[in-house]
Amino acid sequence: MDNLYIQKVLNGDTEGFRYFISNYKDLAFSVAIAVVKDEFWAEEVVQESFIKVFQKLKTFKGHSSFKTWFYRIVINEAFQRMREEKKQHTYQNELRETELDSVEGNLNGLTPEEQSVLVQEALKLIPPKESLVLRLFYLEEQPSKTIADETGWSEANVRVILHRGRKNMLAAVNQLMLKELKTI
Amino acid sequence: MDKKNQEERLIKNLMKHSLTKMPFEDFEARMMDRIHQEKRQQESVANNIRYAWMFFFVGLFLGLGITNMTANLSIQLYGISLKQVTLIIQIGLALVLLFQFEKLLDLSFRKKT
Repeated sequence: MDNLYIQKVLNGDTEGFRYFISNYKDLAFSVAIAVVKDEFWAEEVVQESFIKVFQKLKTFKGHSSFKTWFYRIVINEAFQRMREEKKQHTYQNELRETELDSVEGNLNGLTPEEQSVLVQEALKLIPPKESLVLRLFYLEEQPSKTIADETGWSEANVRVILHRGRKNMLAAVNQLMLKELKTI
Repeated sequence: MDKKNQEERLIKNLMKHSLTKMPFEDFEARMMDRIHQEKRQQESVANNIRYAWMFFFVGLFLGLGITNMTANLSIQLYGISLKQVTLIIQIGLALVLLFQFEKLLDLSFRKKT
């Protein structure tokens, strides 16, 4: 389907580009926010990425899938934005073992909406590379090889980031739940 | 192994909630406006490049025509031969043409990539 719309756009049907926007905007936003951690920045990153896709569509040779090519653009744009802003974040970066039973127990007491807010907040606390890899691996169900293609990192590096991401994510969730419990 | 499995299950479960939908409802409309604008800009650049090449060749042939016409004239202006004056002008114009030609090639090449 992607290839059909690529041809349409290349043949001058600009309105055909709407297909890519409506199909990829949410996933692109998820990827962008994993890196930049801010809704407004993420929206700008997605906008710039779509413009780049439109400008460079004729250079897309189809060696990889359109999705992989598009994600590579979004990821590059997001990291470039981070470099431009030079905003310094302090992320939870030390690996900590988390009491899994307590996390699981506390999670079961939350509604799906509360769990969603908790996950979004926890993803903001961990480093951009880790939250990005976690989203691509679990949400998009992409193998580490595809993630390596999209990010330009080695497969071994992706696996290390994934390992650190899992640990840090659980620690961040645990930390947020404990904070919440203290306020009650 | 059990702990690893439990961790994997827990993370999988948590990450199910990580899909962030685009929160701006008018995003698609705004994005399409920008795409149409981009298309118009691309077309206008392509048109400008076409006109630039056209005027470049018109200027080139006019220049050749005038050079040819003035080649056989032997008039003196304030004691200076017209041939000397036209030679200086011709060298100047040739440099300008080369400079413009290089710019046009660069512009057309950049547009394609």
